[in-house]
Amino acid sequence: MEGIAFVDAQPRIARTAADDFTDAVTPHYAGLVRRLTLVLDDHAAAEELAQEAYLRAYRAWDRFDGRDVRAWLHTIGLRLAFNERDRRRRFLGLFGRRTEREPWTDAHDGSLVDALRGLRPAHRAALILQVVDGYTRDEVAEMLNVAPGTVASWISRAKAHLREALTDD
Amino acid sequence: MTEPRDPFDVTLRDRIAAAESRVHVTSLPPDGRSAEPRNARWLRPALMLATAAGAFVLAIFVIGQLPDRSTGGATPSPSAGAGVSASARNGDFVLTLSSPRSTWTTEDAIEITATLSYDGDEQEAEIFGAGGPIVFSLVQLEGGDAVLGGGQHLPCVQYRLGPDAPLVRPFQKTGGVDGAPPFDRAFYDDPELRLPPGRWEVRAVLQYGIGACSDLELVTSIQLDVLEAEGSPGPSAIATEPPVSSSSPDRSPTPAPTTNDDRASVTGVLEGDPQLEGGCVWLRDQAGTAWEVIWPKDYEATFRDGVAVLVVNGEVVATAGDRITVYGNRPSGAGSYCMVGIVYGADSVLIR
Repeated sequence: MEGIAFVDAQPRIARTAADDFTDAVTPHYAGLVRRLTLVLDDHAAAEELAQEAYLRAYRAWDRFDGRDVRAWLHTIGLRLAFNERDRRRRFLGLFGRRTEREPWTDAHDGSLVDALRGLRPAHRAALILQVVDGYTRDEVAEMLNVAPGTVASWISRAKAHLREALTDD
Repeated sequence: MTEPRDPFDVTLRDRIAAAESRVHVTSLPPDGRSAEPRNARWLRPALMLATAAGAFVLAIFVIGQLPDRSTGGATPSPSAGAGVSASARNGDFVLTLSSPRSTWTTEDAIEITATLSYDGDEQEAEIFGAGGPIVFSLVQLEGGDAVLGGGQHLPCVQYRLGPDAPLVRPFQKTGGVDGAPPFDRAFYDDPELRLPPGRWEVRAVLQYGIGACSDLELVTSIQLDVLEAEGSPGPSAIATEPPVSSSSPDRSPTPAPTTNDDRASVTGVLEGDPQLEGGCVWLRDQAGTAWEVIWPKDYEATFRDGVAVLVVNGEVVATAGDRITVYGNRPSGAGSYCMVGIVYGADSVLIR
């Protein structure tokens, strides 16, 4: 950040792992909720999953390699999201009805939102991770725990769908 | 990380990012809404302690009120809820500070923009300035007495602007970490500007010169009201009140593996639990460490009749208890999902 100088790095009191965890993860909470909302198309589920992801992140904090906390949190959140989706699908398979969802965005760019809704969540996630966040194909594959070739295929299909859906914009 | 080159990708990136930014992040669940898993109880006091003890002092570079010497008459024009802006002029240069709303909540990413425009006769004006060249500061007028920013130690550099080419700068945090809320480390780590409740004065300062730095100054300010978001404990409370999901499986975390090496291979016995997170498979090495393997393309770790198996192109090539060596490395940024061990990215697999 421009214009900042940290002159004295001596902590006044001893810091704990919980301090480090709090400092590292707190700024990323809103972003994770937004990302999961976009991927799942379900704001309420996104908030629950983000909270669950934070709890798991805390449990695993001592195993975190310290390199990219945002990517780490998003990895946990997205993998939880797909697991949650599978759970929900099994639930719907058993009980055969869809729960009501609250709208999560305004109509600012309705055509884009509609086009994104036409994608499978995994495809949507891969596309967003690459196009918006700039992760490479291999990085996306690591985050979503699939092969790089699968990611390439997902992104290709997602873009083809969006090109067609957004042609009239 | 890569930047998109395809114009379609660029457009897509901007539109998706804009749509995402409009997702309203509501407050965390109030106490008692979620059933707390048993193994989360130890987490809550630990994280409460984190906030209580979280104030550490990195000495302050500049936290202090800016000198109040406006050379051009600032003309604030706030109106409740609507946009707010103020301008200051000095000669042909006008510094305008604006925000699309005068009232925000503690959860909002507050938008503030400063614009330096030139309306003289020349095609292009050249100024010298430091700090980007516009420096922002915050003063809490009501609800507290926090003061932030105004500091800059950047070199004086040249800027060019014309009648149709103003300098536009979004709000940028400056100053040093205070250790105590609101201007603690979390505040600076947050790329967005979020403020605690109260009335805030936002100032933009341009110290500039024609042909040299810091001879002239333009200062302008606006006032914003920040309201407590309904049910919001504030950004720093996210971790102090650990959010939990009632659907969270109640199991003790696996003891952390002691290794953090970048080993070129891992040998272990295939194990799995079909009930864990919808099914988790890992390798257990001789030391007892579990490795969550990201398998190469065409490999799938799954379950057949409740037994962990490794499948290649639909064919089972290993079952639980088989000894397997994987070659690869520990991927950066890969998060553990099953939380049973260390994530390992395998390039190739040897089944013994």
